[in-house]
Amino acid sequence: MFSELSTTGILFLIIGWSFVIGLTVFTVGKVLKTDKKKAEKEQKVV
Amino acid sequence: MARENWNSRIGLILAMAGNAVGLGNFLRFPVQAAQNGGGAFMIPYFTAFVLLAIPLMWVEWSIGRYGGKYNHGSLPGMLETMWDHPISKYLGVIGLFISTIIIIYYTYIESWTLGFSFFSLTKEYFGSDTFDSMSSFLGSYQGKGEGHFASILPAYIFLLITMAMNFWVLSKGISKGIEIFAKIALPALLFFGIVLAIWVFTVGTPDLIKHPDWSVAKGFAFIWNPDFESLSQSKIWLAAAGQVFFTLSVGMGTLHAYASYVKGNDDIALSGLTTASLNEFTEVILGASIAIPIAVAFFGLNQTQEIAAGGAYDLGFVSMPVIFQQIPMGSYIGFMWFFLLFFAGITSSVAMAQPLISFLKEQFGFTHKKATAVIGLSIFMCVNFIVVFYEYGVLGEMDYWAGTFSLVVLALLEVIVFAWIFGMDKGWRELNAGSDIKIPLVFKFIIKFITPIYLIVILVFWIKQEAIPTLMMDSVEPEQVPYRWLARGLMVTVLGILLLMIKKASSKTGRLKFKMREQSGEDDV
Repeated sequence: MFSELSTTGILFLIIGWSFVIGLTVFTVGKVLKTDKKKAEKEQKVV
Repeated sequence: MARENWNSRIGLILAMAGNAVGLGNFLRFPVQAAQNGGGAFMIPYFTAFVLLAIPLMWVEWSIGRYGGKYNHGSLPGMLETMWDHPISKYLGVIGLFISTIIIIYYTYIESWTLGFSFFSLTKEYFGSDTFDSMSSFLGSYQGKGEGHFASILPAYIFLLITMAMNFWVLSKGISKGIEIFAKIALPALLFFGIVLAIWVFTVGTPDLIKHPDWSVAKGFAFIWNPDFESLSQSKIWLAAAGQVFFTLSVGMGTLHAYASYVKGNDDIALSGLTTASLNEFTEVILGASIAIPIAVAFFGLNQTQEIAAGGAYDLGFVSMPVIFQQIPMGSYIGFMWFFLLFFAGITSSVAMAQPLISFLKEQFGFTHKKATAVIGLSIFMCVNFIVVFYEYGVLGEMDYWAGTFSLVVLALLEVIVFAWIFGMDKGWRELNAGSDIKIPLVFKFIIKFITPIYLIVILVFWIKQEAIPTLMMDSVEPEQVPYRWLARGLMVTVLGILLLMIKKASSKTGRLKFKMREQSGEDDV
């Protein structure tokens, strides 16, 4: 799959994909976590 | 009656991400990357993403939520609340103008994706198995010369269906229409994208005997191996900045409209960043892994470079159908590809109509259904112009002025209003109100200084390199010139009508109508 990539090509792909996947996992995870916390808080109030 | 709100944060994020994820993620981005230095393109791309796209996205979410507090769902009113000057509402017309013009031609392209989804399942284009014959198939579908289709009727039918779907979703309102639709369309789009990317990974080298050099691996190398020399060229940096603009839908007036339905103190910082990251996932991971790598595997590097130079339509609507005819289950994979594009398109086009709908409701007291119907009919009348004169380059003319040049103008205007007129301290507080993440303080500096300077540099270069030659129609074929003037006439007419509407709406008090928002979950659909 990535056999034709040069060393710098692999480096760019790894950095690019890591940045995007890292950002997505961080933001989506944070959204789910804060929403869960808020829901729990609201339930306690009720 | 209370202003409508998004029902859930997930719904808002999916709708916003759907707005950002468009045809460009799958067609424009890989072409831009391949043409502009491969892996090295990622350096200016991510630089522009951090210094331009993210700050502008946050600015637009902030302007939108702030305007929503005054019951404004479109830019004229939003700018007026932030800048108490008679001209501010008229400058805000750019936000209505851009989204109106783009939706006029975008829905037509979107309808091709629906049409080609159908043609994939019915194998209508099977038989047009060379690049030239498939170009002829597409051309006849668009009404450009003779070919497979005798008339433009099929294109017209799919256009009608596409428009009906768009305005049906819009007629249901924010939470019951756009939000519910986004919750279905965006996960489906991601699923199709992931399946297609996995399929591309499995293709390898399709013809080991005749073309051992044509492989998916070569395609990935084409996109990712960096050409560092290209970084010294200004056009690469401009291309990257242009791409992040298009991909995040900033400078269009649509993010503001959606953000105006966020409740007063609900988070926008994290939600905005999440939509941007979902868009980047779709673009950098999925977009770069499908069309170009598979084209290199079936056409080789040289022809793929020619296809990429021919633009996104050749890549998406010509080369891909040729490939689908050569693989097992090609009709189903073709359907998946075009339906993926259709979902990407429709989630963006519904966002483009929203500012106008909000404007009619808020300033002229239209009911939601009436506003949707009026906008739907008006857009449909204008789309006919694109359909009939498509072969004379009218779409390209409108895309350049409204869909490219004006985006930078609007972005520059709004960042100046936000950071320099409304005030950066006030703006920073607005952005951070109710925030679920702590935005690094450096972004305060970036929004105030770096982003405007970046935008001015882009604007100056674009005016010099593209805008003046485009305005003078330097490279336009003589027979296209009158039609391109007609397209300009249509754009000026739309702009004039929108300005008159703003004047009329503000005629009594000199200001657009506003009211402080009632916080309620009820909607006014």
